[in-house]
Amino acid sequence: MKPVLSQSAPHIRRGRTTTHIMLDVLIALVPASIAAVWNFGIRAVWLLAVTTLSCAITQWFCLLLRRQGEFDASALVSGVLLALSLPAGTSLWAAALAGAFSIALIKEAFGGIGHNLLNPAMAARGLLLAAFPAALTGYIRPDAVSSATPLSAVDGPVNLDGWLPMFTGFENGSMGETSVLMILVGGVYLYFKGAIRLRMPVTCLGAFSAVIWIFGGSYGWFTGPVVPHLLSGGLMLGAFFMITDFTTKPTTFWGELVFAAGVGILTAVLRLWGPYPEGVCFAILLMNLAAPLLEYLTRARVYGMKNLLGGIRPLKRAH
Amino acid sequence: MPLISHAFFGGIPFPQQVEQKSLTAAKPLEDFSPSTLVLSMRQGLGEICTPTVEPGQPVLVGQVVGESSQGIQPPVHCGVSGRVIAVEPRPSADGEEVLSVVVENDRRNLPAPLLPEMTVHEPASHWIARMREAGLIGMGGAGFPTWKKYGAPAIDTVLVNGCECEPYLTCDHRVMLQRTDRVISGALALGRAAGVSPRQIIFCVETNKPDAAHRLKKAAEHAGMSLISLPDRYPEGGERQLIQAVLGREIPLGGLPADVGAVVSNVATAAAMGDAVMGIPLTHRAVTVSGQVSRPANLWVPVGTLFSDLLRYCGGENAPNPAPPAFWQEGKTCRMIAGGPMTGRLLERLDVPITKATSGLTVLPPQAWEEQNCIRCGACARVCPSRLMPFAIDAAVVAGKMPVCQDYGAVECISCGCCSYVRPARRFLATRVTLARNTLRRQMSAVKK
Repeated sequence: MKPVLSQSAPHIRRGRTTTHIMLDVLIALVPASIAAVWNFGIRAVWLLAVTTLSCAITQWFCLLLRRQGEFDASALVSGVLLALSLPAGTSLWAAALAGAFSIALIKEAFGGIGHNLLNPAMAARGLLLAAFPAALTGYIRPDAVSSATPLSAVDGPVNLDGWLPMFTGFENGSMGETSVLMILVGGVYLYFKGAIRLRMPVTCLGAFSAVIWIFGGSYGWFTGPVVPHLLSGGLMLGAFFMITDFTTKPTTFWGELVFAAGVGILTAVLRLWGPYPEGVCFAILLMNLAAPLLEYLTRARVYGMKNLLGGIRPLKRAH
Repeated sequence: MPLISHAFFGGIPFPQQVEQKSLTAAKPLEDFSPSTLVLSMRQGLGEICTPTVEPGQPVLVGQVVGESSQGIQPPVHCGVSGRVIAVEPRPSADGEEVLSVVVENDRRNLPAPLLPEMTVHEPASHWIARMREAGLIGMGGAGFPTWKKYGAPAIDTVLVNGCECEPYLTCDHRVMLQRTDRVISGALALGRAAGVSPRQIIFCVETNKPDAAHRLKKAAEHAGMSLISLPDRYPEGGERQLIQAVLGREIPLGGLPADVGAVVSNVATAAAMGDAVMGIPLTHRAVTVSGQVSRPANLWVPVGTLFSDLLRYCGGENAPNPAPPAFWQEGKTCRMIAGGPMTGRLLERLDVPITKATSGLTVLPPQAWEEQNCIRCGACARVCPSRLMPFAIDAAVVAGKMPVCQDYGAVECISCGCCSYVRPARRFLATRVTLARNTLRRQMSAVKK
């Protein structure tokens, strides 16, 4: 698209553009990526490179086919997020396929950036989880011993002394899921850059903790092991980077809260009773689908109007 | 000064480097009288006036040169003395040709006989009639005939709007500082026209003008009126936002401020009313010439001065910084905006006159924007003072779905431009939402008829 001279007001704009926001998200993902490389070594570098390149090339190709739009950093964001949500042992061909799928079918097929219904990274992970579960089982430790995510082990009474390694990242799991500390650093950066507001992660984690606390215990209600659940799996990555994705969440205040709470509750439910040890991915995808409706139902009251369950009526005239 | 507890929704607190008021805030009003005056017969909203003078006829300062046959639009007065050289359609800032009276200035400033001075005991109807006679229209930008506002029944509050939230502009600021007595006497007169006591007259000034607020507060309280300091937040000076911020009332759909018992007038209008009380019609106004000009200034000029004269008086435009993009037209350097950058109109030519509602000339460096896909960040919805979802209306306009725009309340758009300002994807949101609003309003009025 060619630059257009705006004929009508306003004649000034804020300097911040979409590219700035995407670059901010990329910067915010740097600590988590460093943690992944620290934990998983060269394998993490390969995985990050493969997904990011796959996403970028696919976007370039799709834009060529669509003959519109331009390359932006959003494909890189999707690529890095995808890599961080995969286990380090994921086979590289599966990762490349997932990256191409996320951009081609989830993003560009719907009209490119801003038009996708599902979070590309989560949809790609969902695809791998459903279609190639074997490719995803390669959870590896820094010492290269393959084992399952610790989530399958938190059913019984949990020794809470063990939370510190989970927090700092020397624990099993997907690449970016392992270091809660580094994800928080990125989240705080985004918060201070104004790209996310804390109410979404806080609501999501709060709702999640509540469900886990009430129903998650082995010795009856209200005994659930909240802290290990909070610190493990993809929850933190999801709460700070996935559900705050502009395009696939509602934009309204209450919509955001319901959306975030929905993700938290669904994640807890899927973790406690679902077939997979992890539930964040499907919880986010399900709530993505509900986002347009949530947004419509929770619209703010327009000035001079009153709301009627999603519709609006004018206020009565006083005179 | 206490800050008020009510607040309007959304809005943007502009940082100083965007607001750029410091360019001209400390510059006193300078008198400037151009050699020719082009008095457009359409000064504000409403019908076009009919010229009452012939080419070749001598005119005096304050003489009526145009009058409306229907009587809604107040008459147009000449701001200089001299000779009418033409009565013909001339280009206006709107881009259309409007019938205008062109006057050559003889620089002798011979005054026409004044209207009789008003006395305190006259009834409200006389004050309203005087507003019309003196040619008062809203000088904040909209140009609504002032007397029509004050004729409404059941007004309990008069808000005198000195917010001037628009970036760059400082003309109201200077009027409050330099014409304080006129603003005060005018505000009292506005109160008499509305039939309210001075206690129900409230001056509203943003906190970024502490000197004006201080000066006006002392004078207003001496006269029994009050002054309220409002946070520095665009569009605080919007009529609806001001009423919401000060009184906590919302105007219902399609209504006017009078529907909630309030009436809002600009401080410049109040100052003009102060003149009108003494019999002087509205012939001059304060304008700010700011931005990329060699000598930014506040000027006191007759209505009908050409923008090109204003620019020449202020030393012409600076070399654009940054340099204009390659596609920029030859010979075009800066963007000339009639009014402020948020709500002003881009001028295609400079040989057009200012009207009673023009608050300035803003010269901005050339800049163009490339529209990208909306990323649904929701920033536009957070700053919309009408609590609209501009991105959704934008999408509906692009898809040509007017009923959806209606469902999203597009009629309540106030064209403040906040959505386009914040939007990272650079879409021309305000343009499309305004388009939707205007289309819907036309449909609504067609249904009524």
